[in-house]
Amino acid sequence: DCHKRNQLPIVPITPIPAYSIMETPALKKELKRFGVRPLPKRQMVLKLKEIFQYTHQIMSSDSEDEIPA
Amino acid sequence: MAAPQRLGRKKPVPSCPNPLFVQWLTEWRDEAAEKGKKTQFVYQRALGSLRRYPLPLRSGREAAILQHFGDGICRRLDERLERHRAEQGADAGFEAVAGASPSRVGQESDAPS
Repeated sequence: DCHKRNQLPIVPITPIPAYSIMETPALKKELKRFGVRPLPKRQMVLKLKEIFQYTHQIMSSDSEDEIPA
Repeated sequence: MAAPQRLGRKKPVPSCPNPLFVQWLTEWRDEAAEKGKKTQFVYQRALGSLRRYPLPLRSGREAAILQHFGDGICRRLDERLERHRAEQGADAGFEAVAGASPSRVGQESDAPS
């Protein structure tokens, strides 16, 4: 894993969209992109955050990291 | 004006987080199609949303949040999953289904041998 980590390219990380302040129809639309049915609003926000976090994990954020300057 | 951009190494995400569910639904769709049953379209639609879902699912029940996944499909997936675990033994447990999912605390993964 460690060697793999250094081979990955450094890319810009998209900031997380402001799901918490999105309107219900917008949340539904976002979730639809991921094949998820409309849910209670709070649950939609949580699910979108979960998806975003899962698909935007940063390698160097956990343990022994050398962040290049 | 651009906000300061964060840079980092993005951890690769599995392109197919639920390979077993995709496999089973495909099998069921094809079986239904062979028999000329209308349920083939139900499975087809379910496959469509499953393929767009990026997170690993831990059970058929959890798949109920997906579009076109009704009670029947979820139950059938759970039954199939149980059979799969029994066949594979406890070791294969969950990882095989979902691919490694980070920061998830243990599901009960004991299968009868």
